[in-house]
Amino acid sequence: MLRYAASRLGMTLITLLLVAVTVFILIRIIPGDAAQLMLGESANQQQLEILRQRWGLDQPWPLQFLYWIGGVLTGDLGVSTRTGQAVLPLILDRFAVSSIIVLVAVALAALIAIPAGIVAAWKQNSATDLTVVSLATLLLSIPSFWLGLLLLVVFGLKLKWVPVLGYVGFSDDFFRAVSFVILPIVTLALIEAGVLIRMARASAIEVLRLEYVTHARAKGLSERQVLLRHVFPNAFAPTLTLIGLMLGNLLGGIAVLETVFTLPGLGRLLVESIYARDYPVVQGCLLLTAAVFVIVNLIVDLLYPIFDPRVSAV
Amino acid sequence: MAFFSPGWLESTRQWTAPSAAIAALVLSAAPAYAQAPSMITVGMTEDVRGVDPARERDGMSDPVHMHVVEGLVAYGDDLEVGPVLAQSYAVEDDGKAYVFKLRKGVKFHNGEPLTSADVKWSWDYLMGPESIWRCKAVFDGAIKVASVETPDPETIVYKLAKPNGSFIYNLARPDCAGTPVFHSSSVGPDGAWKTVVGTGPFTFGERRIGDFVEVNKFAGYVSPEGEPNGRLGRKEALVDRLRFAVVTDPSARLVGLRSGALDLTPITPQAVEQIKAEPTLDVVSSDTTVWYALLLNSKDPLLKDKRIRQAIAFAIDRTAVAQGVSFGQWAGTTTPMPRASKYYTQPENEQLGASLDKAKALLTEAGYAGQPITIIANKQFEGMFDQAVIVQSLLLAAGIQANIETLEWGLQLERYTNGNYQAQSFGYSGRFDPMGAWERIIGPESRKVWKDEAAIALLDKGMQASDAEEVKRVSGELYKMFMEEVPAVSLYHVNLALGVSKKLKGVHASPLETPALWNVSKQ
Repeated sequence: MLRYAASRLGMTLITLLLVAVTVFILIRIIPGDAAQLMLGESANQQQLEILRQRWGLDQPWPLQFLYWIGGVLTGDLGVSTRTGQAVLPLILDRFAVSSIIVLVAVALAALIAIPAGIVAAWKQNSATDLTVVSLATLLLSIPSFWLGLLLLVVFGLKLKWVPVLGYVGFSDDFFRAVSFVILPIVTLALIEAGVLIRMARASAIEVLRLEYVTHARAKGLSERQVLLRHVFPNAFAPTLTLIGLMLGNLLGGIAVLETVFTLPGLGRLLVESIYARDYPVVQGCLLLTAAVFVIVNLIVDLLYPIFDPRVSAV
Repeated sequence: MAFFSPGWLESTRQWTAPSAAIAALVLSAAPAYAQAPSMITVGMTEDVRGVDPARERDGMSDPVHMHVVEGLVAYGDDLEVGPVLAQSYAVEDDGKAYVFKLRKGVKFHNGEPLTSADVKWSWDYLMGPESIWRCKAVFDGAIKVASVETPDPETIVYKLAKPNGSFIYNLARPDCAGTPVFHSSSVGPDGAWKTVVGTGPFTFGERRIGDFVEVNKFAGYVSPEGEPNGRLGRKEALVDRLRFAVVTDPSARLVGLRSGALDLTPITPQAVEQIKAEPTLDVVSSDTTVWYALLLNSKDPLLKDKRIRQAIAFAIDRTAVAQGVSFGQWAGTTTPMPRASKYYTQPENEQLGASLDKAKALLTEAGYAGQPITIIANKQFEGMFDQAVIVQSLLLAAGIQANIETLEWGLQLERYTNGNYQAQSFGYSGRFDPMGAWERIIGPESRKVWKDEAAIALLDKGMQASDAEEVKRVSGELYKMFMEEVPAVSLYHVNLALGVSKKLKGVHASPLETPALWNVSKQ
């Protein structure tokens, strides 16, 4: 187990270094001049050079990379060229907003989807199964921004249960903060539940066909015991992998939902920064996203042997 | 501004079908809940760039800055310039000297009185070697300011290297924050920017990046006199606070307006009639100087033939394009000169519709054999994309093959700046000075689409003119050349519509695009 963990950790560090190099190069090969975008075309050459010099863009790429990576190793991700803010606190603030919504939404989705998927598999081809599968397909098919706006209109505008615009930090006013994030969480949970239900159902159907389930039933265990003791742990392992991938993807930002609900999250920051060619913020966001993705999946990989001991044996 | 930057008019982008459906739902929903009476909340399409008017400006920041800082002069809604911090000004030395007398009693937000030394300090800061102020290139280029003198604390004199009638208009440019005057305490001892200490009716308040920026009423404000007119005349802060909230999604802005969370926001043309039908909401709108056009590169092997460019112009129905992108709200035009300008004259026998026979005859004469023309467009400003699609179909009707190459805005801007394109679907930000409409496209720079020497000479003549009739005459001559040479096909000027809560009193739209929120109260 320890060797497995060490090897995964080593691979994680190599992945992060590759990500850093790739992110640095990719953002620079996208055409478009950051200084020109900020100043507009009426700026003269001297003004453009002032900005490029101020941002270090007049240096050769390898030197720029060394400055940046040196800063990263000491916790300094640079300064936003668009707003002048330090990048690390900026992206951590935004990450906090996105991560609260994503973690709660995915947890909620898993709590709904896994039991629903297992029950649907257990009652395969019944009316219950059909209902669950139809619902999952419907949730999968709805675009998140549409569902978000629909909930906003119903619960914000018509029923006035929640505010329709803005955001307050949890440390400022916990209950108001909850009122601002509840709709994005419900939207995301519903959308992601659709994916998880299908995965949990497919895994459970596979497990239900295996001999040890038949054996468990033959030795007289109740259906509830069969499902809880034998089907759930074995069907959950592949779903856990999917949850890991899902978390990694979503923690990188839920730009569409953040836009609909006017939340200052990481996704919106990344999109706006790409448009403005704000290199330090784009690099910081992507590095953080990659790090989160890799770490979440590392945790999932390390948890996997608990549900499937064959993995640690390998 | 000579190119389209994100701003109020960004919201002219159309909605996708689902968001239009949602909008319909929004508009049928129930009335809103109340807000604090002393605050007006404005829905912005993007966040402001920053709170330093000298360096951090764009189409979103200007509307905020204009409530905090003022210049010697500013624009009225008639697009004429008048005094703000100045009491009066006079043109002397055959147009080479502008003498400003400062208004008495003006105070900065820190309580210090305004003197000519403050005006000069601000000018030196804006024009300093490290400055990236937008108009620095103008006053150190096309208009050369030789010196700025302060003979006494109430007088400041700008001396030009040579006479230039557009000096005063450029001094008032909103996209240059009206050449702001701020107190030297805005900058720290190390030369770094601290905060804006201006003279406007509001002071900067709290800012949460990505969320909102607020400005608070300045109790010590001393207003200019006269009837309110654009950025001129009496200014009075009638609410304690203005909040500029970032709401990037157009449907979310409608929800905000409908719920009362927003008091005012730009709206899409599609929503105009629906908003008008709402009992609690109103629409105010105005023609602007924002201009959309199809740029044609005269150096391109195919488009260097004037007959092909003329055929393209004859093939395009301007009314169809304008109405198509605006759901029937806007009118087409054949001239860059906006209707909102007093220098605009309706071109004689202006033909807005297509003339396919003429287009086809010219194509035959030029030996056009179906070579495709590539029009660059982007989807960040969907008006540019939508008009490209309509133009493409109109060209096809005349037998001209056109492809649309959709680029990301940053890349399109780079291609525009370098002159590296065959045709571009483009939108220019508003220009309010008399010759600004033409200056956007004429010049030797690589970004200018019309590099003809005769046109450049004529523009130069117009820029130096200070007589309105002379400006009109030059503009008329340029129009004739423009229609003959067709460096671009003029399509339409944007009409800006604002959705406004009926609780607000005193809001009016302006050709200056962004509404002034002084003299506006909230019930």
